[in-house]
Amino acid sequence: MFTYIVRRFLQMIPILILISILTFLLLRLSGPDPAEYMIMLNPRVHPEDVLREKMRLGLVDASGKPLPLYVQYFYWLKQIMQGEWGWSRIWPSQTAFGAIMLFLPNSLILMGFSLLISLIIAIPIGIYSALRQYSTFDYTFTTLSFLGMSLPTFWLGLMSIIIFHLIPSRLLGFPLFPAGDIMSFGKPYQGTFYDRLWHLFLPTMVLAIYNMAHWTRYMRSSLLEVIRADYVRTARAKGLPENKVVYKHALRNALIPMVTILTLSIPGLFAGAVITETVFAYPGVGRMLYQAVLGKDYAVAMTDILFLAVITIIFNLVADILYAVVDPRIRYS
Amino acid sequence: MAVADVTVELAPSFSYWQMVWTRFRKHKLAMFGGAVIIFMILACYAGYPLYVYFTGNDYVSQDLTGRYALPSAQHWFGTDDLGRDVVARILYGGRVSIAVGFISAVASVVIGSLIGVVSAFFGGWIDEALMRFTDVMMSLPYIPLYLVLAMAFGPGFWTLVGIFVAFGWMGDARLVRGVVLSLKNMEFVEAAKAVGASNWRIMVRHLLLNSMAPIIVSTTLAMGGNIVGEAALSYLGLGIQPPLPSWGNILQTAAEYIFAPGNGPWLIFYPGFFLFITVLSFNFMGDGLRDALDPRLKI
Repeated sequence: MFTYIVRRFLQMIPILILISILTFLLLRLSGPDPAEYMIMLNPRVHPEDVLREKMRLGLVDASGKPLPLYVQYFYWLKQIMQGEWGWSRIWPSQTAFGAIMLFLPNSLILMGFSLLISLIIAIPIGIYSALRQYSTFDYTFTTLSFLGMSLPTFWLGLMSIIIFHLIPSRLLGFPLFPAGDIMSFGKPYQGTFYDRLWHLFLPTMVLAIYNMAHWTRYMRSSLLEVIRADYVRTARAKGLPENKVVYKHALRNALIPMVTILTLSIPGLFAGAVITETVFAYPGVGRMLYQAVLGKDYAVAMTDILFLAVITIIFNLVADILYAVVDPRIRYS
Repeated sequence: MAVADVTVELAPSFSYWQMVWTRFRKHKLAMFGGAVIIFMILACYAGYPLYVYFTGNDYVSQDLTGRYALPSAQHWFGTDDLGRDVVARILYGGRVSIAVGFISAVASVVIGSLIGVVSAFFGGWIDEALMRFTDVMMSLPYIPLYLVLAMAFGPGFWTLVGIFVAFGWMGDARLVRGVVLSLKNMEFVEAAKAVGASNWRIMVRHLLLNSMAPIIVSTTLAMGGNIVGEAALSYLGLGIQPPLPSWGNILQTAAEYIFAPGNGPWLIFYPGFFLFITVLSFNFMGDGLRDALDPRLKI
């Protein structure tokens, strides 16, 4: 097991190097560099200032000649390794990493809540569906989960704004739920716990409905997988009460793949939900990345992508290790 | 010696595709999905010119004095912020959305299948290299990369298709590799080798054709997924660019003016509803095809 973990750690290195090369190439090839932005923003900027900026970024050598791409790459890599993420262009006086940390908590709250709500609802439904396969209950929820999976989140979000904000404010004079943001500004109750919860409700529900559909299907199929296994038949044959068979023998084994899927979905918490956050003008990392891309804030965009790639790889490894921990039949060597 | 007069009653024999069709027909939701998809394609490709012919509304002509018209016999779903007919825009936009979904799903399946079959058939370092590359591509955070790539290459139809293909083939490659690994040591492959078939012929005619079931299911599901993907990126303004309509950017324009006086909620409802019904149909059909093509299949 220990050698397996060490080997997996060593395998992460080439993957990280490849990702850093891809990220670097995207950064360099996708438009003007920050120094050229200085000229675009202020045409009267001194050429010496531009040159100094280019040298600081490792784009040219002392005589002003452009450096080859691979030298630029190593220079960039060195800066990244030293924690020099670069400065944000659209969030003033923030480093690229600082900007991410500014928006990350909001996303973690939103994504965490919706994941929790969807798990609490989806897992019992999935279990019951699998135990009563082909019953009316099963058909109803299987069809509903197809509906949930096919609902575009931005459409669901907009429809919920229409139903819970637009129509009530026109008919009743006040909205049932706010259309966006994380708190009401300029109100006496600005930023209180309930105010925040009130703002969190619609985006959380939209994401939860979408997640629920997937989790119900995962739970149902992973329980169906084990319910016909020989050891479950043995448990029944030796006369165990049905709920012991289900909850002790079948369910515990069915939860093993669920642990893996859950671990693999954790990087999603750090990515935020670009679309739902944009629909609800919710200041999370997903919308931050969208704004960084639109505003050509490449330092922030690239740092975020690199950060997410590292988190994704780490949780892939965690999932593999957890799999061996929860399932003693798996032996890594 | 007289031979007794016997008539042999043979059970009617069915070909593979007849059995597939029999099983598919029993799946009511999949039949519904198939019917909706055929209807959508007919409506967008044949229905649009008919609609233009009978009502005289096309998807670009503006009528600034008739903005936000209510649904009527002249404009079935009303008009948008520039007085354009919403039905015409949805029908024409449907062509764009369905085309993005179809082209990118087929292209990524072709690429994924080829990588999968080459990887499994040759094995060794080729397999190792291709699968490591697949792993790297899978560990990239793809939604942020969609945004950056769409911005870098300039948003548009072919950029969208390119992005969906670049990040869509990995699942198919793994799927096909798995199937081919279990097929490649079977007798029919050995027989093909014995009669001197080329590697290419074995890979395409024998191995890929025998892994069609998962490939077809995965293509169907990918079409639905890519249609939502198109709509999502167009909604963010990084997909199909106006004046060319797509379900995503029709929705985006409607959403931008969500609080404008006169902007009816139906302007947001209709494009999203068409999108939802189409994607739902692709998902139902994929589910039905999975049961019909190979009941033991797990995707």
